[in-house]
Amino acid sequence: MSHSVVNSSSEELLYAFLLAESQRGSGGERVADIKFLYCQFFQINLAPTAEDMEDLTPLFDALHDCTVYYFHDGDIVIKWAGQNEAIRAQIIKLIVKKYEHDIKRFFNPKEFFVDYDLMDGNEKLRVICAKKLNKPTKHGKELSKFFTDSNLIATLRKTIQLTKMQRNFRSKPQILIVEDQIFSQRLLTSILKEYTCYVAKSSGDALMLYMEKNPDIVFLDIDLPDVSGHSFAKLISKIDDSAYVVMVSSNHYAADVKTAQQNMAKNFIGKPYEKEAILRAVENYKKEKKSRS
Amino acid sequence: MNDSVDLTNLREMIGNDRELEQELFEEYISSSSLLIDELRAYSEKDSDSEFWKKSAHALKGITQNLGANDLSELCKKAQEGFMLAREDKSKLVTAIEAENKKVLEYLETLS
Repeated sequence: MSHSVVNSSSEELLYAFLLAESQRGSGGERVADIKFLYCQFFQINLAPTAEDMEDLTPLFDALHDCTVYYFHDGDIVIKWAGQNEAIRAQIIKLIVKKYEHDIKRFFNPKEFFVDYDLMDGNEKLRVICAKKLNKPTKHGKELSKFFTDSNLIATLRKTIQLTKMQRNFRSKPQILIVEDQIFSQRLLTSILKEYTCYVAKSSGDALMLYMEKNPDIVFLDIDLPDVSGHSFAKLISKIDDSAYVVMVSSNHYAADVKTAQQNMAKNFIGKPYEKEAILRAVENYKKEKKSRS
Repeated sequence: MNDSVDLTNLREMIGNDRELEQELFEEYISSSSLLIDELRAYSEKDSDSEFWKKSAHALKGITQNLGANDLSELCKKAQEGFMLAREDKSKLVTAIEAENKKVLEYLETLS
């Protein structure tokens, strides 16, 4: 048994570990053979101070091929190789025995342990860790600043003014779909199959596609992994006077509809999608374009 | 149609494209499973409430589009109840898992 105190969070360590494993070639200890057991000692006020370490370490001394990581926020991750269920049972027994009173006070002991192996594949665990680490949001914060930078907005605006003429020569509108769920992306592209569609799963990707493709219409979800659809709509309204944005979201609360209107969105379509409503939005665009010309 | 899923609207959207229908079912199975795992994980820490809310919202979106109306209602409750106590969240995830099981069983009969 080995153990170490880690300054990062449990998710950071797991994420880094899983990422490294996924990038490793064949050979070596494969992540599929490794099990993780995760305990939340912070919930019972047991941040792993030196004293706590002294208390906890002997619990694991008898276990072989096992590494225990103690984290600053009180989480403990126990990692071991192979399919040895006996180790898991032994760990649980030891911890519950030692901290029986506190655990029972706050938890059903069965719920105290999260067995990451039960999550059916380490890719899922990696995704969960990435989300917990706020990776998209961290990126989103930087992107939010970028979206409100006045110099950048001026530059994008000039670029759009120079390039948007190409929309006039299209026989059919081209459509940008901004939606992070593949299920909903596929539905929209299916309904809009007679049109050229571009798909972005985040606001950052959507901005790049918007500048590159000059879409005529944008179907835009609100809840996106980096910056919200509302912020993207606001940016687009500032850089492109001819923008035609249709919000699509299951959050059709009054506040969302109002924000969409403030950001010059032309329509707001709730989920579940209805084919007729989606196609009507495209027809409305065509009518508006015709009346402008 | 059964009690858990009403595919009427979905089929209207995609027409008679059975291949796409199967593709969507597979995508649903994979996404819903991942999002429910996330809910389970986020239910364990109060500090993960915002992540809980996002996952519940995402699951609500795809269940609405699939036509899994009861499940979608549970997801709405989860999204709006993002500040619930851990114990209540845990119960809600259990209910979501049970309802999703019914949805998956129904989709299985169509493949």
